[in-house]
Amino acid sequence: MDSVTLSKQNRLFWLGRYVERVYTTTQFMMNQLDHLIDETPMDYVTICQRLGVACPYTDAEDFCHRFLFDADAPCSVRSSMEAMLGNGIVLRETLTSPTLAYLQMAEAAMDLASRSDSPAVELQWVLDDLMSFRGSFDDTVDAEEARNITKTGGMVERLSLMLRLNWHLERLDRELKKLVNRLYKTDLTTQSQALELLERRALAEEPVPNDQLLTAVEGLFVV
Amino acid sequence: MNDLIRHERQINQQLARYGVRFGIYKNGTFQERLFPFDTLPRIITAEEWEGLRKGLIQRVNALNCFLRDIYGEKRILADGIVPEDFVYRSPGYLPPCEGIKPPKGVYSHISGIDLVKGKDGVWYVLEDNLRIPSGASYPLIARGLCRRCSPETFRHNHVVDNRNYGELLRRTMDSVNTGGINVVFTPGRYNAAYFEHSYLAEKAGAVLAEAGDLCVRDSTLYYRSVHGDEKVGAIYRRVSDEYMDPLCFEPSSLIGIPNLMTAYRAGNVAVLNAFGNGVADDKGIYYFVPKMIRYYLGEEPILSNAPTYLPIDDKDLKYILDHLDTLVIKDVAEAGGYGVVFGSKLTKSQLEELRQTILDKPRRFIAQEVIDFQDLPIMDEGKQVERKADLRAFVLSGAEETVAWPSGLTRFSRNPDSFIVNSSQGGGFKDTWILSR
Repeated sequence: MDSVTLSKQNRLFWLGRYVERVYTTTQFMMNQLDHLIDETPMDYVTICQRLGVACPYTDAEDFCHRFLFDADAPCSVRSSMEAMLGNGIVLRETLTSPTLAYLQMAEAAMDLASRSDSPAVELQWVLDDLMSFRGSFDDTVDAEEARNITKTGGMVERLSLMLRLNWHLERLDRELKKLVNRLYKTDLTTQSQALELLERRALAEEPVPNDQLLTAVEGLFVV
Repeated sequence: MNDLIRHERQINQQLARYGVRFGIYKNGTFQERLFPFDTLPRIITAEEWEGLRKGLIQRVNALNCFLRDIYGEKRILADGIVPEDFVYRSPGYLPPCEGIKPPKGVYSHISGIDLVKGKDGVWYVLEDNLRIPSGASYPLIARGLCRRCSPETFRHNHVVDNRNYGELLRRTMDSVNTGGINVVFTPGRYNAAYFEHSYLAEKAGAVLAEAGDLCVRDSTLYYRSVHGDEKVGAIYRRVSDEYMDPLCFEPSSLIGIPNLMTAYRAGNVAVLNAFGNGVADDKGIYYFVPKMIRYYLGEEPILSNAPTYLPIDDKDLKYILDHLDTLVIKDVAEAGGYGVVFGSKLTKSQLEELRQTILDKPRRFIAQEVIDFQDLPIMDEGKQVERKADLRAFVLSGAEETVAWPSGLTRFSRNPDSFIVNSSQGGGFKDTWILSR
C-alpha cells in the first residue's frame, strides 16, 4: 500500500535529486581524476564557485580527493551520498528493501573507493549501483506518482549540474524537454514564472541565457 | 552447520547490504551500527517448541485479560489476587485509559516475552514486554539471507519457515482495524529501531508515518495524503505512551499526534499496542503473572517465572537483605538492560548503599535469583566460544486468535563475563530455529 503525504513528496523529490547529484558528480570527478594523470591544469576554484561551495583545497589533487570523499564537508560527493541514503531509508516501505539495497551498496562502494589507490575503478561500482537502483525503482515502485516525483527530482538536478559545470551541454535541449513533459505527471506545485521560461526555451526554442535557465530550474518547484 | 559458518562473511555482507542496523546515542550524537550477527542459530526442537508455544499463548492471553480487567471491572483487585498498590503506583498505569475498550478488546497485540533456558533445561520467563517490543525484524531478514548464502544447510535441516511475520502482523492489524488504512507510526529516522519500523511497514504492507503525516479530526485519525486525507483504521505505534498525544500525556512531545486519545476513546482507531499496557509488564507485576493465569484462565502456568522476591513483603525483604550479594536487583521503572544490578558484582559499600535504597524505596525494586542459564556457542574470530544468551519470543494477538511466531530474537552477550545481552549494550543476535520434526 502506498499513499503520498507532503513530507513523502518532499523526500521522493530529494531522493531523485541526490541520486542524480551523486551520479553526475561522481562521473564528473572520475573525469577530473583522469586529468590528474596527465597533469592537465584544473580550475577547481571555478568549479567550486559554480557549485556554490567553499574552496578550502590546496591543489587539484587535494580537491579531487576531498571533494569526493570528505564526509565532513557538507557539499562533498560523500555527503551527498549520505543525504541520498537518508532519503532512501525513510522511504523503505515505498522503495522496498531490495531496491534500497542498491543505495546501501553504492555507499559501500564509495567507502572502498576512498581507501583505494585507484579510486576510479571502485567509483565505477558507485555508478553501476545507482543505475541498478534506478532500474529496480522503476520496476518495483507501483505508485506512478511516486516514480514521477523522484524522476522529476533527478531531472532538475541533472539540468542544474549541467548548467553549473558546463557538463554535456549538448544534451541540454533533450533534458529540458524531458523535464517539461514529466512535470505534468506530478502534483508538484510549480512557480509559474520559472515554468514559463523553461517552456519558452524547451518548446518554443527561444534563446535563454544559461544563468537565467539555472535560476528557473532551481526555482521551478516549491518543495 | 559448518556450511553456515563457512558463509559467515557473505551473510554479514548481505546484512550490510540491506542496512540491518540499530541506532544508539553516544556522547550526544546519533550513530548507526550494524547489529552483530552470529551464524550459529539457537535450535529448539519441535517438542520443546510445542510446550513453549502453549505457554507463551497462555501467558499473553492472561495478560490481556488482566489489562481488560484493570481498565474495566478490576475484579482481580477486588479479589485480592494483586494488591491495588502494585497497580495504581505503577508508572505504566494510565488513568486516562480507565473505561476505554480497545477495538475487539485486544490490548497487547504484539508481545515480546523474554526467556532464558536454565541449565536444568527449564525455560524461565524473565520479562514481559507489552508496550513496543522490538526485534522481530532481525531474525526475519537474517533467515532469508542465511537461506540464500547456505541453501544446503536449510535443505538438510527441517527448520520451520519464519518469514511469515509480516503476514502475521498484517493479519493482526486487519483483525482490529476499524475501517481505513494500516499505519506503522515511527518517531523518525533517528530512533534506535528505525530499521525495524521501516522494514515491518514494508513487510506488513502498511504506510510508514511520522507525526506530521497524521492528524485527528472529528475524533478520527487521518493520514494526510496529497490527494486528500485517508482514514486510519489501525496504527502500530512505535512511540512510547507518554509521547503519543501531547494533549493527553506529555505536553512537550513533538513526536505525537494531538487528540489521538480522543479518536482512540471513540473507538475509531485501533492502537497497537493499546495505551496503558505498561501496567502489565511492570517488573513488579511480573511476580503476579502466574497468579493471573490461574485466576483468569483456571489453568496452571506452563512457563516458569524466575524466582522473584518483592521488598514490600516483609518475609521477602528479609530474604533479599540476607542474600543481597547473590541476587539480581532490578529497578522496575527501567528497561533495555538498564537498572539491573548483580549483587555479586558490588563492593561492600555499594551493597550497603543498595540495601539502604531498597529500604527507602521498596516498591521501586524486585529481586531475583540469578538463573544459571545455558550458554550458547557463538563464533568469535573463527573460534567457537560460549556466551550468555536469551530469547525474545513474539506473540501476536488479534481479534480471533493468539499466535506465537515460530522463531524469535536470540540475543547474546559478546562479553564473556556479562549477562547483559541488549543490543544497546553491545550484544549481538542469532537466528532462532524451530525444528519441524
